[in-house]
Amino acid sequence: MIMRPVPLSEVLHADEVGALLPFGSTAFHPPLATLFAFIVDPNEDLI
Amino acid sequence: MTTPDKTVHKLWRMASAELIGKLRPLFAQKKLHVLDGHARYEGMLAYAAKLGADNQPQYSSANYGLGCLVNVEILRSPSPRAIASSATRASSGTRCSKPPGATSSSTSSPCAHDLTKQQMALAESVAHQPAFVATFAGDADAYSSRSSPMSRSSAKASRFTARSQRYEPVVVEHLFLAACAADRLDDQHDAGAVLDAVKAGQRSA
Repeated sequence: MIMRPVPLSEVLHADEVGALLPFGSTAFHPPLATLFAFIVDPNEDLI
Repeated sequence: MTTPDKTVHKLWRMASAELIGKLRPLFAQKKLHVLDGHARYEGMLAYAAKLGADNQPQYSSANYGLGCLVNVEILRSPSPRAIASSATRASSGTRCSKPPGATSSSTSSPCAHDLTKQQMALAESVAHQPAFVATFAGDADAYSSRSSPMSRSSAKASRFTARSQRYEPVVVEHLFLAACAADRLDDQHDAGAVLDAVKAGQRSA
């Protein structure tokens, strides 16, 4: 199943009325989450 | 790094106080929308709170997270999905038809296996009407929808405004899929893998 991309106006409207678009509506490919991780060490300064 | 699908990913670690200093005021006045990874974002905030980020120095790692800012032009549609069988087409109540010029009868290659033809059929649909193209396992043809807005549909639609009931994701999720295949879906980002599975007659990809 393929659909047209969800325009930003629809995203904004859903946000304005407090609704959530169905899961995955604005997911984009390829995902980054499975590729990268951010190690958080509170004692580490990023700069 | 390059993933098996040939996509090149580039990641930069921002470690310049000057650059961060320039970016902060740029975004402070803007409303950013989390388009993907809402749960991960909330988890990141909760973890930062657990680490006591507010009491950490400004540039502590606890005050930062991994993010990806995108140009909205690259927004993609919901994941391609393999639907269990063509029988669901009839049971969904959604009127489906073969996209003009993109059916198996008009070409030597069945439309169900040709993503380009499906995308062309979708591009030719009327812009302000919900539209999608679906392929079904065991069916050589692809079908474009002519779904009506959800004003007459199930109670699930009531939580959406009349306007949002015309959005493709809402129509597909709550009018089409929920009606015919809610428990028989596989989310799959790789459209090619989905079509290969359909071609092979599989019910999932």
